[in-house]
Amino acid sequence: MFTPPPNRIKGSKINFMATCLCDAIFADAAECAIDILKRHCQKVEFPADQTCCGQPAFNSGDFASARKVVMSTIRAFSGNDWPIVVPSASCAAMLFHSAKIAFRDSPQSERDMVDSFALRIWEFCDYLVNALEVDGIGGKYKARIAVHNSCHSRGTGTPEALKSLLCSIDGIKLLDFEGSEDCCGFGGTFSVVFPQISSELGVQKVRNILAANPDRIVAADTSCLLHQRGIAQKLGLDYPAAHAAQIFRAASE
Amino acid sequence: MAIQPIDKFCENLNPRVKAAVHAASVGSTNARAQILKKAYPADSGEKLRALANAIRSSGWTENLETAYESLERNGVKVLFAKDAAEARSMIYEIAAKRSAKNVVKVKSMTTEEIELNSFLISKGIDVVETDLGELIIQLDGDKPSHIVKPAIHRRRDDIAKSFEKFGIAAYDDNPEHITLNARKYLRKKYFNADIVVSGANYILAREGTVVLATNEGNARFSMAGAKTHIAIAGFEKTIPSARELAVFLNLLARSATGQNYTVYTDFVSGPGTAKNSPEEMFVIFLDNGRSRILGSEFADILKCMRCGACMNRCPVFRLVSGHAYRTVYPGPLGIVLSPLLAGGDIDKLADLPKACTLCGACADVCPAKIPLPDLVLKLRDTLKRNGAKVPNDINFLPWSLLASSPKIWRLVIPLNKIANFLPLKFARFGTLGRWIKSRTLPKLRGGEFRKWLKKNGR
Repeated sequence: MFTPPPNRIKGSKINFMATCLCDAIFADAAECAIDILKRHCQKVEFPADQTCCGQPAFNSGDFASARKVVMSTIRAFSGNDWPIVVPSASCAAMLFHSAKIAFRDSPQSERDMVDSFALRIWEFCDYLVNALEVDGIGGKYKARIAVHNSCHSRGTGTPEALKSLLCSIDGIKLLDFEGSEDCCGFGGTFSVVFPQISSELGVQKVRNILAANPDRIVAADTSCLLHQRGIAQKLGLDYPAAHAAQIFRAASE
Repeated sequence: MAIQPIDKFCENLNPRVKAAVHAASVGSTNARAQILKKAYPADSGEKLRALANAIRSSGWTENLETAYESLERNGVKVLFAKDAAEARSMIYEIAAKRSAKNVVKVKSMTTEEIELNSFLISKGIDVVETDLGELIIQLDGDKPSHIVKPAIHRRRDDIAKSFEKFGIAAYDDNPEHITLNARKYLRKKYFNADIVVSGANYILAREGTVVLATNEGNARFSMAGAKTHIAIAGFEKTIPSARELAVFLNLLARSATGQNYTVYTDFVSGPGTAKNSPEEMFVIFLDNGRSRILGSEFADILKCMRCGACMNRCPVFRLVSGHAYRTVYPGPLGIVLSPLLAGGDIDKLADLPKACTLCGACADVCPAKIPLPDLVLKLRDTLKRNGAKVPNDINFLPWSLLASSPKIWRLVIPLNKIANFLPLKFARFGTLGRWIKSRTLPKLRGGEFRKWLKKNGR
């Protein structure tokens, strides 16, 4: 569904886009992702003018606001034409798929900018496996792991890449659980516009995952985990969630 | 806390109904996946879906013109109804001219869309639904909650109760007995029917044939008794020919119920073509907003074959049931189609396209590969530009100004740590209150990543 465009740009010089969530909350996820990328890339740039991908406004139907933020992001990354690696499947999908919808009635020059920007966007795990052709992470990390494949990774290389990278680590056992393909109910602003439905879906998801008795819950997105952990903690349940990059770095420490 | 109508409906929905809808939806989703995998190994199922999409991407006008000629050639009277009111009066006029008193119905969402039953009943005509699910809900004035399984929200004990109440049979909640009792009751109705009203799963343009897919054989029974057959369908149900039909029939039942094919597939190619079949036949092509949709960026929604796979797969539908959507078409299909069909009343349904987490699961199962999440988003945009107001909506203007001013962003984001010291968990109102009610707040760590980056060298 959120299939990225073919022929995206690859290379060992890259930009890192932290996402607003890592900027504001999940510093560790971004730090770990940078550490892992530095191992496999010649150069990892962090353009300081980056802010957010524009998804919150876009998903709410406020395309004018979303366009403003997307344009700001495009400007922030205009210092070079290297690929942009994002530790979030949903922010990546925003920039390689959804932005085109936000700009569908915009002048051709802007649409061209958005189209060529889309060719630079990669989710973190997808980039490691399908652009850098990293065989595995290696190292050791003893844990039973439940993987949450975020909905915006549907149709992308992310789920397979995430799985293969985790499996390359000694000691990791991936767990099956009921409803693994189902949405956790976060949905961005959906979580506060439809709080009842969102929480009920969240409770279902969290209970399904915890029934498998995992040591860690791992995803390529911090946003779903933010919601899931919030739901679990409110129920008084421990929810040891982590971004994939955090597991990758822990395995090699 | 829940103030959105759909959210509120979810909050108040009977847990037993919720469990029934969830189980039935999950069951259909799994059955669909299994049977498609078996029938179409590797990626051939994907190719078939792409073909279904391609066939319906063009040729609308030609199909309709050809269908008109072929149907007339087959002795069918063809009518075009611009809206629901016109379609209703066309059907009533046909009935009135023949002094018809009894109408039997073959399950049709289009007749739900034009609210045909209540209209005919108000004119003194007896109307009976012959599909078991539809009959169950018709008895006590209920409405379908699913386009394929209209009574998915009903339990067998309350079905048995209403059968007793409406004099069909004594209380018996054995499902087989419920079916047998309905069968006995309907048999008399078939014999007395003057007119049968059906929808059409497909209309074959070249052949001039109406295709009806049913599981209960009720379409055939209805045809056997009635003298007049009226089929009403949105004009988008027209496909080029029987050749293309193969693509759709191979997808329809598999996507809908996980069957290879429906138990009965009826091909009606004009009046009197089968023994005891109706002596005259009408086809009414309904517009009711469809040509407006065809000319818009939402045309893809007209490729829908009404299989219900999207709603079976939808996390929101599974939780809230079809009635939550207040319209004839629920789920991912409905949150796009219903507002578009509403025309001038579109803003009243502005909350519908919001009732979606954008998870994209619907698009994964849609046999016509309709990009439902993209349509949902475009519709949100359209409604926002209309100025339609939706409760709980967030104003993103301040945020977008902040997120497009990098220098201010860098100054402001680290300040979020102050919030860690505020008693936010006691928030009861507003966006924060709606988050807090069922979730904890994370520790805010604004600017820490950038600080780390400086220390660790870029």
